Amino acid sequence: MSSSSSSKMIELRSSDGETFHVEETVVLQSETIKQMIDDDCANAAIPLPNVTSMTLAKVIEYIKKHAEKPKDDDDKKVAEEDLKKFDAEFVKVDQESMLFDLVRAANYLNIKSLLDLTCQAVADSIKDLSVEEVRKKFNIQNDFTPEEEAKVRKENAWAFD
Amino acid sequence: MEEANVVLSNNGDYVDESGTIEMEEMVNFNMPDDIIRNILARLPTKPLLQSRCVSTHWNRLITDPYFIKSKLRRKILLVSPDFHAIEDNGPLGDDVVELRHPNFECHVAYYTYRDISILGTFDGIVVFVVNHYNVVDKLLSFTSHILFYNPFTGSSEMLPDPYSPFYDNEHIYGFGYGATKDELKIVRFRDFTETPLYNWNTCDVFNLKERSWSSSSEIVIKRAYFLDHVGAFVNGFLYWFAVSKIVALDVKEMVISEIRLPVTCINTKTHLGTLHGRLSMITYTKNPFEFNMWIMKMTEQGVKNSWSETRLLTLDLEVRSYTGLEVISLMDC
Repeated sequence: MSSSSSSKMIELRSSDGETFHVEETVVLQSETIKQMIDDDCANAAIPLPNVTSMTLAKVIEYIKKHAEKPKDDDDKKVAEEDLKKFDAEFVKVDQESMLFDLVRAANYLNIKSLLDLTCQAVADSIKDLSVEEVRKKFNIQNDFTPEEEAKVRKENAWAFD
Repeated sequence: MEEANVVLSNNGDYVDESGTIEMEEMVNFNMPDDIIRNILARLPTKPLLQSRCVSTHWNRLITDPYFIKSKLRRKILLVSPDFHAIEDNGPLGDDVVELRHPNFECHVAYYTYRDISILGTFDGIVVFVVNHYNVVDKLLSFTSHILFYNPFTGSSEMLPDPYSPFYDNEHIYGFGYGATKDELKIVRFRDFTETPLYNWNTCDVFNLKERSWSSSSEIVIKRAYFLDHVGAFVNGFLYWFAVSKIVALDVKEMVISEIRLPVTCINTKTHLGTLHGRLSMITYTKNPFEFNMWIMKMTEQGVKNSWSETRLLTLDLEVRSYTGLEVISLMDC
């Protein structure tokens, strides 16, 4: 079936019913999928009910890039630099919600390097925001009473301005 | 199968097509706590502490002792000779950052130097005592400051001290809390006597919650020649090592007591610390060079009554001057 001789293809199905074919060696970066393959649950398409096709396409782009193997030591250095650039560009997403989706997908699929990368990107994006902006970004309702919030803010005077 | 190939090869088009729909569906930003913790743990201390105000749930996540502990574990502070912090799992690997503050500057010159002691840490803030010794016009001047320092942001605050300036460094310090962790206190004993009798007759307490100082001449320590200037805090008590005894302070009740040392410990070099939540000390003797570990035992009523001793190691070293060898810390791992 497969035109390439390299490895077995695994079929993934996103929450909105799209199917994706990815080489097994690439998809093993996901501990969740690896577990399913080990448990022999990957004969049919693997359903990923928590991941949309748009997010899954992005995740596949990431794991494909990270599966590339450098040929020799010289190549290794170049590849490392290249991967750093790729990672930096990868988290520059247009839609803010995409970054959150990627965090959730990385968590669900248990891809540690992607989870680290995306969580760090979220942390970087909120570290200079005001409390109000953080609430907006995470769509969190402020459920403190004014007195409680004032108390926490007072304790936080130690965070210095 | 055909469909999948199209999606992958036309990735860009696909994103444009459904991006807007996706946004509208994304009303619920429900994130598992694991993810929120993962993100928060990457924040520098200042925005992290500010994030407590986001919601009661975030406040609970951030103030969870386990979370704070994991966060603090990420820093290693090196004081001597210059002041550095190492973030051991920072995003860029092992970064050593030199921390700068006018009070940290180290002037290596005769009789002009500073020493820094770490009193303790809380919520990512380090509490220091910085002593400066300067010679100005052939006169030695001494200044002592308590400083709160945030090693992530570099921001700092010098604690106003109504009792300074001091003219010498005859103080001992402690940092601990009373009934609850909210009641953080800095304790300082001063020796105000003209002739050195080692009677510590003034006790200053800074209450962090109320941000206020109080001073008392009723809490006194008599005849203690202290070998430690910073106490070890264990289970509500501060302990200082003095010649032939350990002085203990109940931080909640502010009552002083003394603990006798095992006979064999008297006149040995000792390092006081905590191990498994109990007071411990490491003593050492030379000829042979032996290190022993002592852990204080308590009765069921909480009375400190005896020590258990364990041979740690014997160094097969010929050390001429044993002042050059000092126990810094025993890691509890």
